[in-house]
Amino acid sequence: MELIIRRRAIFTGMRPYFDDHKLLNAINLWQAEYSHKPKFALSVFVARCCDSEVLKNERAKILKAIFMALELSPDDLLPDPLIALKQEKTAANKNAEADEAHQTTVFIQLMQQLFAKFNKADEKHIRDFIIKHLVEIKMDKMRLMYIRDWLTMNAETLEGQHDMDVLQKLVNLCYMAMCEQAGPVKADHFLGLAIKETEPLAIDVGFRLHDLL
Amino acid sequence: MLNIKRSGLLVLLGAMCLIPSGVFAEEAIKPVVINTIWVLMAGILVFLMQAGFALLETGMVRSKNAVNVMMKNYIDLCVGTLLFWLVGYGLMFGANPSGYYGTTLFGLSSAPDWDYTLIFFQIMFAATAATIVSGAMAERTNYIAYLIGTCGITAFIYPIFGSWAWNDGGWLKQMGFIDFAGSTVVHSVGGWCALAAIILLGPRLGRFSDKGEARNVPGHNLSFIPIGGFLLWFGWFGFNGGSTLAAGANIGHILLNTHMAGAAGAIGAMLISIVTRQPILLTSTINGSIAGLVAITAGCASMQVPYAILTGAIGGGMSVIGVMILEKMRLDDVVGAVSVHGLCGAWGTLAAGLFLTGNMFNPEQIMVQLIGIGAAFAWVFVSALIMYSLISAIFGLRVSALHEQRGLDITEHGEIGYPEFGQDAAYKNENLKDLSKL
Repeated sequence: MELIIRRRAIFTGMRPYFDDHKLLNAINLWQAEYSHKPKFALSVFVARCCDSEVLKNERAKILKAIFMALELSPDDLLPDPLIALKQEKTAANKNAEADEAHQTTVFIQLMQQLFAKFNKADEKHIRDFIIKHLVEIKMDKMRLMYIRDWLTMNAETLEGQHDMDVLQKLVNLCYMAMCEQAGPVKADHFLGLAIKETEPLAIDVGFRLHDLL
Repeated sequence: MLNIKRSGLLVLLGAMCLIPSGVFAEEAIKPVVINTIWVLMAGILVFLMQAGFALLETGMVRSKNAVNVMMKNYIDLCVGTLLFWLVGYGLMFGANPSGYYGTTLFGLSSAPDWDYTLIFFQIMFAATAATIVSGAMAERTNYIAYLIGTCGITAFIYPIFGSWAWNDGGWLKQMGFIDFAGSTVVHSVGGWCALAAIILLGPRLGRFSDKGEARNVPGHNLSFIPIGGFLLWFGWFGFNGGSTLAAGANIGHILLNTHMAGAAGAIGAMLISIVTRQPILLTSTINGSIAGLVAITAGCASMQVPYAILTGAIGGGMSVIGVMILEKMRLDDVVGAVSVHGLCGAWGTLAAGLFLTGNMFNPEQIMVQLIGIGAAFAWVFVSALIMYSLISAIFGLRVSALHEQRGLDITEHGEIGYPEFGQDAAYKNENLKDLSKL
């Protein structure tokens, strides 16, 4: 039986028991790990999908429903869930991209507020300090280049998507540089002020500023 | 005036009513009972010094590390108490045939009453030696690593040196080493441990500029510092007075010497600040008085009052100079513990030999004192350096830069010292739940 028909059969058999989100996750799991395995592996698959007490009690029924669906003609099966699966992935990706864009925007704003507390010469020292210590942060060369360029050219936008860990370490490097440049007391004060100045933007875009700290 | 006299009389009568009538029968009072009461009261006074250290040190750190410093002062007393009873007391005061360490009295559970009194009193001393270190290491030390260091100090480093100087079989005591209440045994031991720790730890972020200039990192609550100083001074009357281990007539002399040296220490620190054209800081003045108290601790029972004043004044001056020297060496001692306890403890021990009543400036006695001071430094500094190096390699002695940024109150304890204040602070109470785990 071809893959699409089997996928539709699994989908049809499981439909009455799972909500949309769980069902799509289950289909994803089946496709990745069980689509190439013999039929008896379906019992393990169903066991993995039944993660609540209610579903555990229904395991036998679900398995029976799947086997019955596998015997049905293609006309009696529900449509292929792959389209829905792709739509969900696209939506999730869009949300993730939007979140990353927000975190980068807030990060840039915070860093610019920190840099703004110093005169040009001191700001350059701070930027140089961060650049010098960039090698301590684990990231690929492309992203490293983006960050180095952003710091060197005083650019307003930062290219690329960057992990929260990386951004958090950059803020910490900036704090260390401020301690070196102005002393720890002023560094604490400036950090507090910059947070206060950036907070409205973070609230606007729905990003938790302290994730960067 | 009449009213004051009347009320004073009433208070006196009230106090007498509280004392059992048997006490007034002279034949019922045994000397051991009076001695026990005196030594226990002195121990209780020394216990109060912990509160003094806690306030003094907390006042000198930034608000984001206040809880951490308080916690360290509190918990090192608890850890030190248990370990000193279990191991330290035996090493320090047990039978000492070799002259280097005691071999009995470990984890004492059943003993004559007087032994309980001594253990109680000595536990307070051990806790004092341990807590001196916490201030020097403040604002950048891993809490658990610090506690492990406290275990090492109270269980081994302090009692082993103590057995040399205070155990009847100790080799230094046999030589005639004078350290009546512990200028070296308690204070220098704490000070040299602190020195080893701060060398390994390195300075706080930004404490020194890249040109080597020391930056002032003011404490968050200067009012705590004099209150801490007063409590320490108050507790010192028990520290030195109780070291007689008997309620004798000489306690008045000891307490007067102690008080004079404390006062002279503050004046000495102030004069040195004026001579070196530095501002007369609250911190250096309070530290000066504590340095005077540290310095007189060795010789408080064996020198005349003018020499106690001189000893205290020189100690106070040294505390200011010591801080300047450490800063030149780029060593970051947050509260000046190395200078106040280490250096001034050494000076006080030497002074006890120099100004020994009836035997002043005796070269032999001075040589014995110098040997004791040198032995303390060699044993304590080297063993503490090894201990903290091991702790650093295994557990990590210093916290990360991100911990320093957040402050140790959050990263080590998950709370903020002043949640209702500091609205411009980087981290507020409501942010705690959002912070990622480090």
